[in-house]
Amino acid sequence: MNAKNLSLKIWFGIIIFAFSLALAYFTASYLDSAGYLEYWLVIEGFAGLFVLVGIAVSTIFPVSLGFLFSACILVMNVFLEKYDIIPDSNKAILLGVILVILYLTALTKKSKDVPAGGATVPPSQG
Amino acid sequence: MELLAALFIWPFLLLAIFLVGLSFAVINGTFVVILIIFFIILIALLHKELPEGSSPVRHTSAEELAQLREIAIVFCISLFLPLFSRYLISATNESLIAVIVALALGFSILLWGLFIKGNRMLLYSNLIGGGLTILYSYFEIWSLGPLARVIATAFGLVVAVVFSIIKLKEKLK
Repeated sequence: MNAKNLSLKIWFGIIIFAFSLALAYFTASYLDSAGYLEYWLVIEGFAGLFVLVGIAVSTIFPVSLGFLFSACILVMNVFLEKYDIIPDSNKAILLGVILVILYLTALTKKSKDVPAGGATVPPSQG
Repeated sequence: MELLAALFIWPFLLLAIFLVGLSFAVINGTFVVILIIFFIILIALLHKELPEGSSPVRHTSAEELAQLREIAIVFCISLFLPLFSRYLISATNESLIAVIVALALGFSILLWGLFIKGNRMLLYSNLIGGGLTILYSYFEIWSLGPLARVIATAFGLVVAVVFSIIKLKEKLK
């Protein structure tokens, strides 16, 4: 991949990210002010939709990452607004699920060998 | 599937780091400053360990990115573990059973970290996360009365003895 192609992909990713985010917020504001749907419900809906679109177009990196980062920002905004009112049991479940995913990632990713503490002992000769 | 995982990991890690910060900020605002310091220490800890007298090794951007991902995963796991214990204890109205479960979780994660081989990410995250979970559980136990303290101390003692028997058996011969 040449440098020009890479920068083009990054720029398109940023454009998709910005426009998808703007679309979500403007639509939520409009629907809320018109009294059709609640603001945060629309934001959550868009977050889910962007995740699905991100998965569907996973072969096109800039489009997929643009949508996924956009969904990430929307979810972060929802958490920032509603984290206080989420019951502790639900928070424990949420963190538990995230922990499992993180552990799976750490287990599947090949990491550098541990030099000390967990050092591997060379097999004895003879 | 691997493509999807590679795509998902960065937005997911961003969200996880944000949740760590938010959870600590909800508990106490000053925790965020401690988190930033912890993150800097972690970067220093996990960044290339240079042998004495050698020149710095140049990393490619892909390697730097992989290293950053490792640091982010260690940061998230090691701080999510005590947070998970906190919410678990809080959700059960600070019951003794939940505290003991959190303590057992902390000890098992710590022991897993001590025995792990060949995975730096899991080694650091389990040692830091397990240690913090144990510390938090003991702080909680302190407020639960004398019986809880007895159980916790006995639990810690049993774990230490079992660990010593397994790990230091050859030295005792």
